[in-house]
Amino acid sequence: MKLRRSRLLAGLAAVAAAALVLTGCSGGGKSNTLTLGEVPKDDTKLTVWTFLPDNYEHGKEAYDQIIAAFNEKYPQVEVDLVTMPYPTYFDQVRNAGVSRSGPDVITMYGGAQAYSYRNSLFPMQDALDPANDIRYIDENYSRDGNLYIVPTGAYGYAMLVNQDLFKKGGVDPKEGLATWDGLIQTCTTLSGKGIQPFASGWQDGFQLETLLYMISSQLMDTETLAKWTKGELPLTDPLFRTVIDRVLEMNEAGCFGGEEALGRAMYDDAFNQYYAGDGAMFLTGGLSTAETGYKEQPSTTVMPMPQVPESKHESLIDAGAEAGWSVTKWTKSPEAAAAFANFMAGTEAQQILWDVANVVPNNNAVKAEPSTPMQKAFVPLILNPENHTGFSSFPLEVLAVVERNAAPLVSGKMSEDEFFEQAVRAYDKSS
Amino acid sequence: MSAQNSRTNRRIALRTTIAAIITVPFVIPFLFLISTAVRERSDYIASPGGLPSSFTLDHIVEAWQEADLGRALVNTLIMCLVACFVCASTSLAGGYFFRVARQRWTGPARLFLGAGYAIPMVAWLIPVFVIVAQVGWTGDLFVAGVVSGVSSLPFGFYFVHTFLKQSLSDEVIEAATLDGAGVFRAFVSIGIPMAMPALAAVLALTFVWSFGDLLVASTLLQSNPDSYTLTLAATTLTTREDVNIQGQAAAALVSLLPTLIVFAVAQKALKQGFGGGSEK
Amino acid sequence: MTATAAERTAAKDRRARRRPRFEGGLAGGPAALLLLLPVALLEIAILFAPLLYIAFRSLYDWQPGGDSEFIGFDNYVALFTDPAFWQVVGNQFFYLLGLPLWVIAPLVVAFMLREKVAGAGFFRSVYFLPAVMSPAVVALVFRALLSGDGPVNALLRAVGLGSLAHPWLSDEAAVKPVIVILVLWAGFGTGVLIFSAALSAVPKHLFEAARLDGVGFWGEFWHIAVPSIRSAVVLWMIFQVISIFLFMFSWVYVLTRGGPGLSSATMDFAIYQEFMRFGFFGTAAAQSVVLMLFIVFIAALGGVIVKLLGRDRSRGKRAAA
Repeated sequence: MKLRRSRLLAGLAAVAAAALVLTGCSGGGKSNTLTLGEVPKDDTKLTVWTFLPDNYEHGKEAYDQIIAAFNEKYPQVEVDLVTMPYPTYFDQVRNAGVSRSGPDVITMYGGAQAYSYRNSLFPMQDALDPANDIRYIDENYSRDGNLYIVPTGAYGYAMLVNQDLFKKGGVDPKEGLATWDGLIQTCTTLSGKGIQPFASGWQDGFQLETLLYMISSQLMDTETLAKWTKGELPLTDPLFRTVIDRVLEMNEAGCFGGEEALGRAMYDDAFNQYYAGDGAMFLTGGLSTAETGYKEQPSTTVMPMPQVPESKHESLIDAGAEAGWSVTKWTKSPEAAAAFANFMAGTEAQQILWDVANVVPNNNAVKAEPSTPMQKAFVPLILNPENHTGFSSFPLEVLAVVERNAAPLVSGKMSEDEFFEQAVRAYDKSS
Repeated sequence: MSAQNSRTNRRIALRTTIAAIITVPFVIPFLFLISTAVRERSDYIASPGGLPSSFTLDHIVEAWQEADLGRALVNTLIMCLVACFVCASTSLAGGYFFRVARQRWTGPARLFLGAGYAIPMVAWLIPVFVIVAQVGWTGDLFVAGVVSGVSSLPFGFYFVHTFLKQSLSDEVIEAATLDGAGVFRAFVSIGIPMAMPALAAVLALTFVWSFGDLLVASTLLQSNPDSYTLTLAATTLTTREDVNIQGQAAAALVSLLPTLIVFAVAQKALKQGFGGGSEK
Repeated sequence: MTATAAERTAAKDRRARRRPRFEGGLAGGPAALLLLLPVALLEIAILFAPLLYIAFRSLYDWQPGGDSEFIGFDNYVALFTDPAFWQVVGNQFFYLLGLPLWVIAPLVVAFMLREKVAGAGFFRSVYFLPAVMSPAVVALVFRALLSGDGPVNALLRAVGLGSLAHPWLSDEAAVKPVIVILVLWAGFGTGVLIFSAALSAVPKHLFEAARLDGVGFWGEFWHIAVPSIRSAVVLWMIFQVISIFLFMFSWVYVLTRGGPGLSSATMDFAIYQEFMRFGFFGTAAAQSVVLMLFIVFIAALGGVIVKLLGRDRSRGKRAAA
């Protein structure tokens, strides 16, 4: 590589620019809000980072179609969609944030996750397209009162139920799983017959995190959820204690399979255990997982987890946006970027995602007609208007602590008090 | 005489047996890797630690196609070659310098530069990335190669220096420089040839470390899928839902071959490199 | 023959008396500095300048792209009062306890392979397999092998040691020793190679003399082999120590994520989490500085100890001679 003088000068200029970036003085004109504006007619290019297409079987086709549709509306905007590997995705976003360069639009989770990247993202609450009637806006606000993502797609945590294994265990799922006590009893019965009630494995531990979301959502009413989203609900609130109590109750009843499940690292995820027919139930939030489960275990159906006795709801499941799209603060085309994010939440894009990639929409104007058995079972559960979730407002530090303390807690090596002490400390550190 | 012979033979047999037993823990994980890559997934799930009861090349083919392993292999080789060149050339020069320079400051300077090895990579890589991003050089294999080479540099030059200290005597250096030849002539005519074994060692180690690197690649190259190295390409096989151990094992097998070749070739040179070089 | 430092200085003095030394100690004059330039420039630009920047930033509540407030040593104070930090430090020191194992095991085997073992080269190559497998892949393989119903436990049960069967990686008490053994596994082949090469340069007559004296395997090992390749042993020790602090990240990340609890976490893993996952840049910067100082301190300590030992031994040799 020959360093010609011009290249050298350009290099030096860039180093100076980088030095400015590193000293934290970004060039002026730092507007902190984004409003919905007209996309300029000049040619421009958007770099979009995402990991979503890999999540679905026909993800690539779906996104190709969406970009084509976007270009029909905005032919002057060239979209370069970069699908990144999930394991290092958020690290890359972190790096992009430090270097103030890279993508214009990114896939991002709302609430606490977006808050962690707030220096890189524009608040979007004033830039939402009013033509889009979408759900899950409120609970994706971050604790500083900003909405950093345009939420898209829908997930809902429910249970895949292997009806064959239930029959073998002599339990009718419709009866056994109708109430919480029934669930506990089911676990006892099934494990007594040598059937693993819940598929569980190393990757997700005992799916403690998932249960944390599912049960805490049941225990929060709308007010409490609003406080939680704003960061005004401390982790010492008794409802979190109830969550852990109920999970430990499940463990006592043998729901997770006992000590052997602790070391079940062979199943990279609990997924594989369910697919292989070695677990009677599996907690999952994705329709595509349900479809795979149905393919592997044709007697699969989808049922909601019953409400704990303290639940403030009748039939709620933890459901919310699948992900969202954010506009980065260093983008040179903020209007085009906002237009893209809004387009992803629009009827056209969401219809394509449903038809091609099986993604449940969060746009109320999109008709998601269930056709497959899994869709018929799952979609109504997700679209239940009673649903909500506090999942996105769990600070990342708390999640890391929960993740690594899950096994010691459930195996009895760590007391509940100790578990909460560490979780609360993490919570305080992050506020 | 024959009693001594049989004692020697017994000793040989004992040592060979012990050595053979020791190979077991090294072979088994390797076999496990191979078997995971060539077993049907359902077979693996049914008995993850058991003997394979199926055979398929599908995982390797799929991984190759999905993650574009062919191109990734070429990218990795490019990055490694650049890293090797940068590290080896500068290590030679630096190691030779510290061999011939005996002023009061050279000792501490040597330790200081060697201490560069102790800086956590995550710490120095981030500011480097900022600058690289500002210049617009992300996704550039050459730059990634240079950075990767520099990460091995403290070890490289220190190793060459240690080797030369033992194998290059003062008389030889004096003879070369008092000829009026100047330091560079001496470097080229004496330093480089004498350091060959050490150079081979540094080359081989830098190659392997660079080959297996994920941090530099994921930081500097991730924005450009065309420039993904093998390690980075392998991560594309893992999604949020699926760890895909079959794909990972297949990708690992693909990356094993070049490194094994490099080491087979370099083994001899490595022996010389660590042995101090001169015949004693 | 690798002479001791004392003997080498004596020889040099003898030579110097015979011939003039280099002018000012710099062979070839200041032009030689050009040889140093690439190393110095590259290291300063890519390693040291960023470190300085990180150290500078560790005094702030570093928010790239936002407002970074100067908070002095608050990050450090928060770090040193965090029990999690001390637990991780404890982990590091526990891992260091494995150092004798990581040095002696390959040393003994290299010595054993030194003479007349059928297929020594083949064995060395097999031991070397771990070095060519990337840590992430190896960790994945071992996670599968060490699981509750994995092959290791199956083997234990098969030979009647079923009571020892554990979920090795999820047991707080077992996970660190297991990792120590895995580090041994990973570095064994390289160690054998290094020591084999170093031993091959030791003149054979030393060993023959010892054998005639009838000192036996271990006598030859401790009194001849180890002292003769001291510099290689020291190099390997330093390399292993640095590995413990800097190269464990991919192991920990894939094997255990630092768990169960924090019992297997290392400092570089913690730093990575703080930087990347949580975005606590200031704390991560402080941790990086602390880690580097740790390593330098321990390496310096090790260097001092080695020097003291060397001086004793050379004094002892002179007295004996």
